[in-house]
Amino acid sequence: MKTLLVTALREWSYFFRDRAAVLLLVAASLFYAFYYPLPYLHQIPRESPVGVVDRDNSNLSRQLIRYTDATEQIAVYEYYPDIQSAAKAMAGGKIFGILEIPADFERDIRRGGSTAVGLYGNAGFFMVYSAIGKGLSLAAGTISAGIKIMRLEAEGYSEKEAMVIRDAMPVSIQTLYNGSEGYGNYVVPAVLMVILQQTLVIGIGILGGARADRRLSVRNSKPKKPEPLYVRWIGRGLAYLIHYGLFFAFYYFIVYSVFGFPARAQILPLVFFVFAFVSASIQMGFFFAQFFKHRESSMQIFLYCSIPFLFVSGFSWPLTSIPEGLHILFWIVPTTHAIPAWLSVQQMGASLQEIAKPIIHLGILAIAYGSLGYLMQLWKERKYLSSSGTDRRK
Amino acid sequence: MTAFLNVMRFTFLRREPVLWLLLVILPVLVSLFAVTLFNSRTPLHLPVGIVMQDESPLVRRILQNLESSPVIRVARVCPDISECESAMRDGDLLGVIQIPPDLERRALRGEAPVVPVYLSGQSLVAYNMLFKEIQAILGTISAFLDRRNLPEPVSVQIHAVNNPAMDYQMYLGLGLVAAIFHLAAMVVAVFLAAEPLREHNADRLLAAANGNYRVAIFARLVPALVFLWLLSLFFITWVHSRAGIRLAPPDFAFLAAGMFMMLAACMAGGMAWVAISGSMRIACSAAGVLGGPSFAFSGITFPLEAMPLVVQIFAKCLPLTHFLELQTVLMFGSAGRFAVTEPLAVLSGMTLFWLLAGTAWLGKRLHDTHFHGGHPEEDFA
Repeated sequence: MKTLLVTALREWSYFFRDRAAVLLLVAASLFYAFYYPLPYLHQIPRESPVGVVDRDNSNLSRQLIRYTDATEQIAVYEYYPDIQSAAKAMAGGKIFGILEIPADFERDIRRGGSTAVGLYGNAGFFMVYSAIGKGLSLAAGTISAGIKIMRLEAEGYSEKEAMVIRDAMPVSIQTLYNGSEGYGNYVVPAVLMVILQQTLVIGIGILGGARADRRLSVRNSKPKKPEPLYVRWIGRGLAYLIHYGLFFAFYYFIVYSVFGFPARAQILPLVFFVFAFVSASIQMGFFFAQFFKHRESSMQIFLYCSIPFLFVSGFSWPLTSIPEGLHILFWIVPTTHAIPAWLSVQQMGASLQEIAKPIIHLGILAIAYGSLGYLMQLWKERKYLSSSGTDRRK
Repeated sequence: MTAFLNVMRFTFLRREPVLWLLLVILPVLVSLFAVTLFNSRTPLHLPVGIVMQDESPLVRRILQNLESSPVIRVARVCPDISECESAMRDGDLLGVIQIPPDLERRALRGEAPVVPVYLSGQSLVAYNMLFKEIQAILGTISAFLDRRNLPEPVSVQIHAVNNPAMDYQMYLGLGLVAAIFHLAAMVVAVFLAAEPLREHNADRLLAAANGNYRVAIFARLVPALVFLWLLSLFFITWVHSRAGIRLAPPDFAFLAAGMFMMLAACMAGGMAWVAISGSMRIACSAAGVLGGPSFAFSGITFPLEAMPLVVQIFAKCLPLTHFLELQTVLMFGSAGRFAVTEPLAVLSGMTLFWLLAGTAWLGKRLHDTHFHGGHPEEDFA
C-alpha cells in the first residue's frame, strides 16, 4: 500500500515537473474551463434585429410592430420599402429576419376576416431563427386573441365564455432542468466532460507517449529493481484519479458557480460517476499511449476527435436521430456514456439507480482498456528484458 | 522546380503514418462522421411519456395524433408523473404530457382544463422541436372542440430563408465540415513545418531545396493545402447535393475561393506558430486552443452579437468565422453576392499577415545549426 502511494505521489510530481504536462494537465484544464463558457455568458440571444416591410401602414399594423419590438427576442432594426431591399440587408447580416405586413391588413380584420403576416427568418442561424419565430408568434397571438375575444363579446358572450371558446383546452408547457433555455447551460456541461477526457488522454500520451522515455517502462525506472508492473500501473492511475478528482471539485464548486450553471448533484451518484468516468478515461489514455512514437502525436490525433466525441453523445443531436452504426462505433469512448450521465446527475439531480447503466458501461470500458493496456505493456517489458538479456550474453 | 519536387518527394513519399493520419485519414473519417450524423435531416422519433389520468375518446384522439407525428414517439405510458419524471432524468424521455382526470368532460363543460406538458430544456434542439409539435397537435384538438370553428384573426406564416427544409445537415453538417478542415489545416501545417526541427534534419531539407528556405517551406505546405482544399470541396459539394442545393457557378467559385483562403490562412498561421515557438508541441497546443473550439465561436450556433465584446473580437480573428459568413451569404444566391468581398478580403489579409510573420522566421530556424545533424534515416535528399 505504501509503495502504491509512493508511486502515485512520484507520478503526480511529474505532472508539475514536465513543462508539457503542466500545460496540458494543469493549465489547459483550468484555461478551458473559463474559455469555453465565455461565448455563452449571456445565455440567450436577446433583441435580434428584424427588418419590417409594412405595406399597410395602419394603426393595427403599427400596433403589431410595437408588440413585436416589445418582445425580448426581437428588436425592430429598420423599415424597408420592399422585400428585396430587406432581403439584401439580411444577406449582408444586418438583420436576421423580415416581418412583412400585407396591404389591407387592418381592413380585412375590421371586416371580420383573418389575415396572415409573413416572417422570413434566416434559418442559417437556427437559434436566432427560432427565437424570432417565437417572439413574433407571441406578439401576433396576443393581438389575435384580443380581436377574437372582442368579436365573441360583440356576439353576446361574456369575457369568460369568450376566453373558453378561444382556447377550449389550453396547453401549459413547463421547461424542466434548464428553465431559462440558456445556451450555456445546454452546451457547457457536456463540453466540460470532453475537455476532461481529452486533456487526460492527451496528457497521458504526452507524459508516456514517447517510447524512448516512457516512465512506465522498466528500462527508464530510477530504482535498480523497479516495482512490479501492477504497482506502477495502479499507482500511476491513482495519481491521475486524484488529480482529476480535484478538477471535478474545481468545476463543481468554482466554474459552475462563476457561470451560474445549475448544480443539482447528489453526493453518492456524483462520487460514483467521477470514479467511473475518470478511471475509464485514464485506462483509455494508458492504452492509446502505447501506440505513439512521439509525445505530441496524441495531441495531434485526439484534437480531431473532440467534435465526434461531443456530438455522438446525444446532448445536442438527439440519440434517436443518430445512426445506429455511429452509436456502436463510439461505444468505446467514455464521453459517449459520461455526457448523458453527467447531465442526469448534475443538471437533473438523478439518483444512483437512474444512472446505473452508464456507470456500468464506464466500468466495463475501464476494465477493458485497463486489461488490454496492461497486457500490452507486460508483453513489451518481457520482450525488452529478453532482448537485453540476449544482448548481455553476446 | 527540381528543388521543389525534391522536397515534395521526400516529404510525402516517406513512411510517416502520423502525417497520413493527419492529412488524409482523420479529415476524411471525421467529415464522414459530420455528414452521416445528420442523416435524418431533422430530429425524429423523440421519446415522450404520457401520464394517462383519463381514457376518454378525446384522449385517444390526442394519443393517435401524437403517434402519427414523425417527430414524436410515445415511448412510455406512466401511471403517475414520478415514473415519467424519473425516466426523464435517466435520459429515456425528453418530455411528459400529463392528461388530467376528466379532460373530455371538463372541456365539453367549458371549463378549459389545462394540459400540463413538461419538456427537458437540457437538449435545446429536441426541446424546440417538441415544443412546436406538441403545441400544434394539442392546439388542433383544442380548435376541434370549438364547434364554431372561428379562425385566428392574425396568423403568422414563417418562411425559412437560406435553409427552407430546416435541414440540420445544411445547418450544422456544413459548418462542422468547414470546422474540421479549419483544424486540419492548422495541425497539418504545424506538423510539416515543425518536423524538420523536431528531427534535427533541417540541414538536409535545405540541401534538398538547394539552400532556398522558401522552397523548402512552400514545397512542404502547398501540396498539403491543395489536397485539403480539394477534399473539403468534395465534402461540401456532397452535402449540397444531399440537400438538393445547387449553387450558381459564380457562387461556387466564391465558395471555393473562400475555402482556399481559409485553409491558406490556417496553414500560414500554423507555420508561423512553429516559427515563433520553435516547437511542434507548443505550436500544436496553439492549434488546439484556436482550432478546437472555433465552431463554437463562429456565430453559427450562437449569434456573435450575443457574445461578450472580447469574444466577438477573438472570433473575428479566426478564419472559420469569415468563411462561414461567406458560406451563409452565398446561400442567398445573387442577393448575397455583394457581401462576399469582405470575408474574402479578410481571409486574404490573414494569410498574408501570417506568411509575412512566419516565413522568414521559420527560414532562420531552418538555418539554425541546433536543428541540424539528425539521423540519416530521416534524410530528405
